[in-house]
Amino acid sequence: MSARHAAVRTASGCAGTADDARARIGMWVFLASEIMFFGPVFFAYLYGRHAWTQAFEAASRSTDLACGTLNTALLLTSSAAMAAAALRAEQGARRQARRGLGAVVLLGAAFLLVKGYEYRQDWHEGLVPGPGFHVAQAADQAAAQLFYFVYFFATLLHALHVIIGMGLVLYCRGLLARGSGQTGARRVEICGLYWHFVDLVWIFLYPALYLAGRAS
Amino acid sequence: MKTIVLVWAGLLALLAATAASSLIPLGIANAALNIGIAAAKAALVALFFMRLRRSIALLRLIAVVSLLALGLLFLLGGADLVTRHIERSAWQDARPSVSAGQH
Repeated sequence: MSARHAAVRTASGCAGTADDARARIGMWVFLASEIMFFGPVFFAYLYGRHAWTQAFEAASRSTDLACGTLNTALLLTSSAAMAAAALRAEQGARRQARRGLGAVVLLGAAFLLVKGYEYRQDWHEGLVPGPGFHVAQAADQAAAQLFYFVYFFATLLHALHVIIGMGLVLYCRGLLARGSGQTGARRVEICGLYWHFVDLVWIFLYPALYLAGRAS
Repeated sequence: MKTIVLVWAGLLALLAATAASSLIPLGIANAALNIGIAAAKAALVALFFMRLRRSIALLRLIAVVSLLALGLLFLLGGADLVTRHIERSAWQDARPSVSAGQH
């Protein structure tokens, strides 16, 4: 027991138990595997952009820039709230940590609402692949449709991760309410790593899907 | 806490920069700016929010190795698709064949 709980210099550079270090390493290895999960989606995008540049840029221009930018701001802010909550949980300020986690869940829900609104617009504008699909200014409609396959696959996969992340954050919030000390702070930190990763994926999806070919 | 607020402000400033720059026609520099700013934002999140700045070397190693593995996938997969002539069957369209544009 004493070895298990001995204070050691761990991953965050702060004093923590060996359990903390193990949890961090486990989460980072999991995130490394998640990169290989999202990576091929970006590869498909890059290939399409290379092979059908005009159609991909026209299709990218037809996405909603305002919604995409707002969503990026929401996710970046939620990540900051998550980092603040993890810091407070570590300092033992459980009430403040819970408030931060509440903000994370609300920002995540706002993100999903905006995304849902966007999907609704896409549906009405005929941007969902299938019969009736049409992108203005795209010479090659079939290639533009491939862009929207990537768009929907990437954003839906990302939204699924946001939903899972919100569930994890809610779980941590409940844990802090019951007063779980070191374990609670550790779980907030580990779930935070997952949340930040989901934010990282969006940071790259945003320019790829919303900004490409805006000025051309 | 002060660091978190500063990093958050930096992230939003970078977001404004990338959104604004993408509307100005700069040719190839548009794509370069977008990728560079996305990488800068990712570095801020990883270093400060995910605490890689103060972590032990092992965690940084895991992060770097995962990026290298992804780089290999892009490099080798990309080299294949870019340099090889793809033989298609007689009935296969050279372009993606879908029902688009037939409305």
